[in-house]
Amino acid sequence: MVFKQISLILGALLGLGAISLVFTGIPRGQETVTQLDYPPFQAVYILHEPDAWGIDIALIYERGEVDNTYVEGLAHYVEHLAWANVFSGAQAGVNRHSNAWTSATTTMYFQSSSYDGVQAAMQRLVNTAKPLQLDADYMTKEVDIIQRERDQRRLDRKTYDATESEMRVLSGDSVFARSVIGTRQQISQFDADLAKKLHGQTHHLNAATLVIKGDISVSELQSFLNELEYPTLQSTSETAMIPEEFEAPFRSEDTVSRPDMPSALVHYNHLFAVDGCRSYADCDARVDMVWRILTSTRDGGLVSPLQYDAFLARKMNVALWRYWRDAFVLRVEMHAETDIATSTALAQLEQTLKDIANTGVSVEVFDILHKDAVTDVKTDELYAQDEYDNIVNAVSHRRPYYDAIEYYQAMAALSVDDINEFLKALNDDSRIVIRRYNP
Amino acid sequence: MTTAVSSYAAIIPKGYFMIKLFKYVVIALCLITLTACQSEQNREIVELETPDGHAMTFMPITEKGVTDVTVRLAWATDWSMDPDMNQTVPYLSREAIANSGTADMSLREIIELFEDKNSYAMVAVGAEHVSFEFEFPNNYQNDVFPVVLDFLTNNQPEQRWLDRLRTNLKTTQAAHNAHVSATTFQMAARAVLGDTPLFQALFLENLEAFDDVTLGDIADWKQTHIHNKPVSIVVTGATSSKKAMDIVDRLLAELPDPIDQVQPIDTVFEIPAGKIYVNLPEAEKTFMAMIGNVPATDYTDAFQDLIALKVLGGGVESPINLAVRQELGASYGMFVELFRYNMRTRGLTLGGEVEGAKLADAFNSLSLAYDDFVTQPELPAFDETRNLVADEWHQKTFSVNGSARMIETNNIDPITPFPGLDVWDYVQDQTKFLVMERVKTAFPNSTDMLWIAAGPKPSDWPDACVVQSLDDVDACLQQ
Repeated sequence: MVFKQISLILGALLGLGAISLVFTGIPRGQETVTQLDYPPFQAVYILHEPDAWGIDIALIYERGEVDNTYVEGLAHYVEHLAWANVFSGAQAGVNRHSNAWTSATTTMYFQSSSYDGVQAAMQRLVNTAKPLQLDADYMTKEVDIIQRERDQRRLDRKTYDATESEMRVLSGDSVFARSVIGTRQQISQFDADLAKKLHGQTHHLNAATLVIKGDISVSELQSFLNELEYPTLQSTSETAMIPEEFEAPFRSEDTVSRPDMPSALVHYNHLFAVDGCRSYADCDARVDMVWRILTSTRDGGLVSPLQYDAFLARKMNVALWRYWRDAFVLRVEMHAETDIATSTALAQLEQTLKDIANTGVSVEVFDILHKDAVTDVKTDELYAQDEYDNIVNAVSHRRPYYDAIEYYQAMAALSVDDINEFLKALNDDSRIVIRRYNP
Repeated sequence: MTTAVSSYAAIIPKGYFMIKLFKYVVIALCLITLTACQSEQNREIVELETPDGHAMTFMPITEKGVTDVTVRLAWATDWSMDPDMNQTVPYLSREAIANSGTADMSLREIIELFEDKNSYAMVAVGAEHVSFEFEFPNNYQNDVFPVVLDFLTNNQPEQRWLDRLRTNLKTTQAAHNAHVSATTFQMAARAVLGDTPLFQALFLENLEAFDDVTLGDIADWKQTHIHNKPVSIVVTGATSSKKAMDIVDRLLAELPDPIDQVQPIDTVFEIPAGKIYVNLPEAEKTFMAMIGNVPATDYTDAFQDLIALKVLGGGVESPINLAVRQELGASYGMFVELFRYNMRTRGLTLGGEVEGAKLADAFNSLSLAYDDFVTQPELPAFDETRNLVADEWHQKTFSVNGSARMIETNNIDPITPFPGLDVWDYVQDQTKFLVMERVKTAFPNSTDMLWIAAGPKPSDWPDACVVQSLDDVDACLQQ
């Protein structure tokens, strides 16, 4: 199976920077989203929200752990240091309204502020691009903090390491197999010089998008941007080689004894490609619809044959998400009933998935669930925060931003054929990782 | 935007003026038209009495895009005070009721109908109250309401579902109890509450009790708790007061009279001072906490507490994080929060996961930082912190069901803050001076608090009394 890059979409994404002052045209309530071309940023989005009580700002570098060529987890260490670099000597209490995050594909910094504090808050975000000038002791001590963070996130969570291990196998030898937080041993290898080097390679404003939400106009924002002090610009940083192909077919199935996990569990992970999406919004709408079908009690879903009628699974969780561009992951967690072997539960799960892929969903079920989906998208209580999250989410996944109206239109335009085409992919061999715990 | 407006914003957020302006416009329109809109003003909370005589609280939401209506009922319970009761029954009843059909509809049919109509119904259980909530878009009321009524009155749990739900709850609770942090709080609660039914109800330590629950127990619990004399009735959302009262009367007309008189729960538990280390040889990490009583007399106090805690523990440069994370390097982050064992027993807890080898130093640093804050509270960036707290409350109370839940909380517990739409007015009244005074006078000193940690190595904290099990806790406190 070959997973194709959607190079045209990538090209369109990169090309957005050349469009100056594009009104994306989203009058919903009184909010509007405007995209500005304002070098040195890669892009600037402003979501004008009249009556907002405060201002939220995000600076998102489209560089994450996949762009780190050093020891795994170093990008996360760099995020800690870059943020500390900004706050050293700052007014106490200011960073109460801040946050930072590293993912596989991005490093993000967030600030909340009153209107009067916007200039300073934006300056702090921009200062994350300044060279790291923390003293050596601080940088060494921060490694301990990262160890504590890792312990907090990983230890004492019985299924977390199992899930992480499965996702690593599913990702094969691609950059997505890299751990964002790293192992204890990897963290102990963090080095201040390496961190400075990686920071210099990744924290460039020309690879960063600024997103701002609040009662602030485009002209006011431009005034703020004009007043910012920008770090000396460096050349554009290189992004990682994100694979155009994943090795497939691939199937890894194993049984694992884990007395610390409370019951007989089946984890089924399937990485597969889907061609033919009309747009990102269209593709995400398909994912939403397929998830609704799979988790529905109606024909075409997993719930009735496995849980409600057959009593094979006493509990099930189904997740479906975009892995990268046109690649998706279906993950099913089945807690087998006490008198059901995990092998039986797995066999029935795989057979049910094949049946769903081969038969598709009926027009009747599609119509019911599609109507629900369109209603949800249309009548959900949409707030500016949702749109802000949409922008941040799009940028952090390095894909074009689409607004709620475009998503609604994409959802409304879906047909049963679109969905059945997507469902067929569930039958692909592609990459499958299965673990049966305490069989 | 002019300079004058932006400088104003430092004192009072701009949205405040828009809300005020909006109110005046609505009032003006009402006066002009002389319609009934005075009683249906958007997000105005009103107390009503239905034609059948039920007292209820109503808050209409007449905003563009809002179509949902939430109905929420709460009943008092004293189940958690009765030593003869199996404390797992309420939890299993909640699950069994949510996962059963009726005489007329299968579980699948009910699920699919709710799914189709963007609706839901749920039961929530607590130590002092049981709640039932359902929500539906107003154009589906005629489709959903009869099913909700059937669901509530003719619910028929099945044995095989009960067995499945029993296993689910046991395994989920066992996994929760296995966390070092959960063990810490369970032990702390045991130190405060003793081996009481309330302790079992809140912490479900005895998982074997799930095995004893029968379908008869579920039916008895439901009959005892779901009746026509709730202590709180709330309707919020896109409907009128007339329709809201009609829903309530029709619903309660189908429910039985109460069987028992519920005894009010007014026990106040004192959190004792002491130092306890819970020895968990298999634990992978160490968790620490300091716990003390913080009484609240009204929601003014509660709001001031929230602002103070945001300063004390919010962000890596807050006093407790500076001490334990930044300077000692012992933790990724310290937390501080308010909690309650029951309505009369309110406390604060601060702590977090720490490196075991630094546990004793972490307690020392944490207590020093905390005591400094309590004796000489400094409140930097006060205005922003105050607004942040207000914003969080605004978010919580903004949705249709969020509003209903907060109003219910206010109905059954008058000391919990619910300033409603006037959150900004309310918060602006909480000055820096008031918050500082509140901290100085109401927050306990660290020496009066229970210090407790759990981990694999008792030698990490030589000062503590070491316990292995719940039964050791009492003896430890008597030392």
